[in-house]
Amino acid sequence: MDNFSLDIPNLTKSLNESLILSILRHEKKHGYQLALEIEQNSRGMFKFNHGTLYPILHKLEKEGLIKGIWKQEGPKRKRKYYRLSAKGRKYGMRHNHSWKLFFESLFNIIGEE
Amino acid sequence: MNRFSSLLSNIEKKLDLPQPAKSRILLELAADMGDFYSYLRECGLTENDAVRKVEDRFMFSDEAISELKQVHQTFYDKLVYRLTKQAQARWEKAILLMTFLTITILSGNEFFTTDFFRRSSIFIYPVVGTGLTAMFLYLRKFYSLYIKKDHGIRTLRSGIIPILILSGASLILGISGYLIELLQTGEYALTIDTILFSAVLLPASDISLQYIAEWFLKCSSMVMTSLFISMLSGLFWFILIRAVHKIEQANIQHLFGEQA
Repeated sequence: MDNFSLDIPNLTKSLNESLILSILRHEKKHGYQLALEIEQNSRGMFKFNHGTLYPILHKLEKEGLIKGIWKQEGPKRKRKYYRLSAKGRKYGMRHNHSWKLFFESLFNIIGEE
Repeated sequence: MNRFSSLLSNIEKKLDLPQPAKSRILLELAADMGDFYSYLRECGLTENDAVRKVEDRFMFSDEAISELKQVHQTFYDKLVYRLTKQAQARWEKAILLMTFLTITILSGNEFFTTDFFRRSSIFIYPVVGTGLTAMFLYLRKFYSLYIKKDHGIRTLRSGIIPILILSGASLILGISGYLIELLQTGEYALTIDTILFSAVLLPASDISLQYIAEWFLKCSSMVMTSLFISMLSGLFWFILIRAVHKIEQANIQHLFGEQA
């Protein structure tokens, strides 16, 4: 269990982090796109309120797992995109592995139907 | 004006963070709100429904606000987060007073021992007084803006104008002192001249010249100090007003600069 990176008492937070890191694996996105894609890919199972999303995004950015990039779009418009950092990619992989371990352990107890 | 100005304004009020962190967050939210709104409109929602849905999705709970604040905590916040508001205020006052006293004692030592100041006119005391007051006000505002990062709109400009007034006061005191000293010296020299001339004791013009030379020494150090304090206070004012202007611009930009 050395590689287990999930915070069990705060599983929702860990889940949100994993969802964000996974969506950012392929390309850079901005906040609302992330929320939308997570909702669409999960067929509405994971609905992100933006009030929840931004604190997580900013925390991940502060920890260096994702990078926020400001881009000028037009004379008055600035947009912020997020992309995964190398550290974030490694962390995400470890997180995904931990989820597998978590569900294996869970199903060992509750049993698969 | 931004379509979501009132929503942004509500978040801004709750988000007790220094600039530019606050502005960056609000700019990001404003842009994402605009894009989300456009997406909803493309999906066929009416204008009102789209606005309502955006407002619903971008509602920040107290918990979310506190998490955001925690992420963007400043060094100062981390340092004082265990203290109560009263204890914090007491510490702030004590540190400010200590800094002020240290500077005053160090410069006071110089003030009373150097010939430059000892020979100076009596008017140098109010001039130095304005300088010390300006320095105290500057330290207080500098602490509030740069260390405490208190960027509340209501208190942002407070305490800056008095520094400019003190800059002017120092100059006026210097010039007034110069003129009063000139008048007194002139009168004194004339009286001495008359007495000595009638008693035929000494060549009167030598004594008068000595008085004028003394006046020159007294006044030049006082006027130089007055000019220096005036310029320094002006510089203090300029630094603070520039900082405040930048903070205000950042506020205006995120609240009114974007058209969703």
